[in-house]
Amino acid sequence: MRVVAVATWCYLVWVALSWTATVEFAVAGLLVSLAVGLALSPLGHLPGPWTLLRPRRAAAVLALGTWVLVHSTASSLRLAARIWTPRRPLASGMVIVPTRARTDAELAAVGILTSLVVDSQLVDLARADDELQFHVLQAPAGGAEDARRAINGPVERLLLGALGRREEST
Amino acid sequence: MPVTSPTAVPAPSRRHGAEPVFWAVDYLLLALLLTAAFLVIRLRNLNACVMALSALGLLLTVVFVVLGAPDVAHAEVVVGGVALPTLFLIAIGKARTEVAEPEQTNLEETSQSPARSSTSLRTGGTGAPDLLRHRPHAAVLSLLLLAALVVAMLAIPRGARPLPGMARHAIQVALPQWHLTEVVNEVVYGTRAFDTFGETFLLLAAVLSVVVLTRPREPRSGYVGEDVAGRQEQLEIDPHLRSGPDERQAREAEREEEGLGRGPLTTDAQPFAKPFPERGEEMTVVVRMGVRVVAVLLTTAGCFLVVQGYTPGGGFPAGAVLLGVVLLIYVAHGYHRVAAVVRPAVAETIELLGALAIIVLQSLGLLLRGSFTANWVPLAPARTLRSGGIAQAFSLGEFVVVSSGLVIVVFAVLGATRDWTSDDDSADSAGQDRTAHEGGDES
Amino acid sequence: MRLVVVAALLTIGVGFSLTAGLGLIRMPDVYTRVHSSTLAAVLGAVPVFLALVVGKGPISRYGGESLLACILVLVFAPLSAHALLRATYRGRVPLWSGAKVDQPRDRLRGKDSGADAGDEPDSGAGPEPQARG
Repeated sequence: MRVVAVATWCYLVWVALSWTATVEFAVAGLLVSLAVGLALSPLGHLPGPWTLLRPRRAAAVLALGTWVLVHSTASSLRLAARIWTPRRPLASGMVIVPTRARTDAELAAVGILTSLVVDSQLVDLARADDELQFHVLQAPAGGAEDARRAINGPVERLLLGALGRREEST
Repeated sequence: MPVTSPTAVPAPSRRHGAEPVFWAVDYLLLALLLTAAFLVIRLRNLNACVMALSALGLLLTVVFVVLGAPDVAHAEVVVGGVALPTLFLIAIGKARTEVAEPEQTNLEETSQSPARSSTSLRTGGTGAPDLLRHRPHAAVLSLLLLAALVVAMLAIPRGARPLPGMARHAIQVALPQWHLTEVVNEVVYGTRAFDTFGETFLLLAAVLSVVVLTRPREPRSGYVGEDVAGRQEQLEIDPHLRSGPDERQAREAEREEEGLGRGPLTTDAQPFAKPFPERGEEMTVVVRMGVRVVAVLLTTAGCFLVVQGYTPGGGFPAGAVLLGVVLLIYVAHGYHRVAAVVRPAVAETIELLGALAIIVLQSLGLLLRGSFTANWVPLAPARTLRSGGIAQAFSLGEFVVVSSGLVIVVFAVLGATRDWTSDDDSADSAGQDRTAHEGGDES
Repeated sequence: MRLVVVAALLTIGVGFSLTAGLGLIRMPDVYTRVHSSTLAAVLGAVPVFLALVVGKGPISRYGGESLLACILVLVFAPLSAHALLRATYRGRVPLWSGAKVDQPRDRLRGKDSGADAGDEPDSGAGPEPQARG
């Protein structure tokens, strides 16, 4: 199953690279995908692309993507403005926030997506305590819960909605 | 691509429209190249030097793209931008812990200064005046090289000047005879396949020399962290074998330095702000998952590059891409995840099998068509997977040889350790031991 | 029309790359500089790739390769930032003087029975905390 999931992703990549609808390419892609799937599946489980076919999940992923796109752009613009006007005060700092992500995939997705919003960059994580350490350009006021709401709360809400909290594999 | 016309060879089209702009780009890039090269020589921090070297590789890549050689650019970005700096970083790390002055290293190790001085290995200024004063022959050689480069620069065909005969011949045969849409590949794998054949075995020779330089005294099954397993075996064979306290201490210190030792291998559960060194061999879960996703993408792209990069094509760049994937997995997941493939028995076998395949492939040309490297594979139409006949197969063999060769080189250097056992029994003080296996890098 | 979109995307990409480069120079410490480097990937490189997708159409080799390169950049930029920041912070590189909070170090110091005062984290034998809460 693992192999099939990885191989399916590979095949999608192959199609996106070649865009050639001949039997030759299809067969070669199949062989390459299987080989890569066999080689890389020992690294761990990867949910197959077919999980996106469920409409609810696809919608949730789309919502997550939109949120990240909007906020990433907004925070990039903020950072750019800050760079061009250096007189603006910079209140950077290291903050620790609690997280609701538990599995490998959830943690990785939260880490990457929150870091794409350039105001906050993931520095470290401590799984034993379910906490993340962020470096932020604008240290949020208030306690850890406020910081969570400002940094990783929305991403986690959308992400856990997308995952449905069911497939707790890996 | 306008390569079908056999008589009138068109000048490269990009020179026509926006000529001044592109000349500006060319000269800007050359200036940047010089700057980067100057930085490589003059920077005081060795790591910064390596970064400048990497920047040099990237700039060279851009130059190749601008000059219209994407296949060379592909190879250059992975080799010059990633693999070579990686080798240098590894070698510098090894040198700092293993061949630096003993008292100096000891001082630094015990004080645990956060930013270790990296200039201790520099042997003072190596600028032009010093060069002239101390090494006049080197200055003469440099000037000769400069003169050769200037002559080569002036001889480059550009604009309206006629192409050399080789290029004209390649343009004439590439599509009609070989069904190849990429002229450079026709040259590399077709007309001058014998050169590429020689280069492949030059690479093999380089790999061999690295292997010989870094090989430890005892046979080993893996490249990294081998002495742990080896010691267990050693104790089984000879339980009374006791190593001296010096050697034990040195081994302990080295393990501590490498972050190996007792304790959990995962880094996820470390409390925040706990300073290095840590025991974990792998990086955090975020990096591991990200690399897992990226590895799928990159490996598939690499395979695509082999068969279709430049119709056909990039065995060499794709091999370098594969090295990148292996290094990524190694860095993120630790050696144990790649140990199944990245060990001398497997990697060296694959390397030699690839070389053998290439020899057989080319020799069959001698048997079937009467000349070495002649094409004996039936030619498929252009823009298919099998167009180019023997070129495609050669590219595939190149992929095998290059990928396994690069992996062997990097991991052999990475696994090169100082052998703490003193060489002969009389001189038993560790620290005097200068016969260490040092990481050699060929380049 | 397509040309306008491509030119706009290219301008955005190049502009933000320039901004990020400037940020690398202007930011006060390594932690804040990393934000700039991520900016270079997110709004610097991605628009250029998107320009290629728009220019050549997504159902083409250029388009496919650009989209995949987009994914690579978007995954790699946060990953490298994370790995870099983690190594830097655990390598005891201090934050700049204007930083507002440094919760992990505060916590470490709080657990450490107030042994070491002073702003700079001391070198030497690292304190072994038992942070479990």
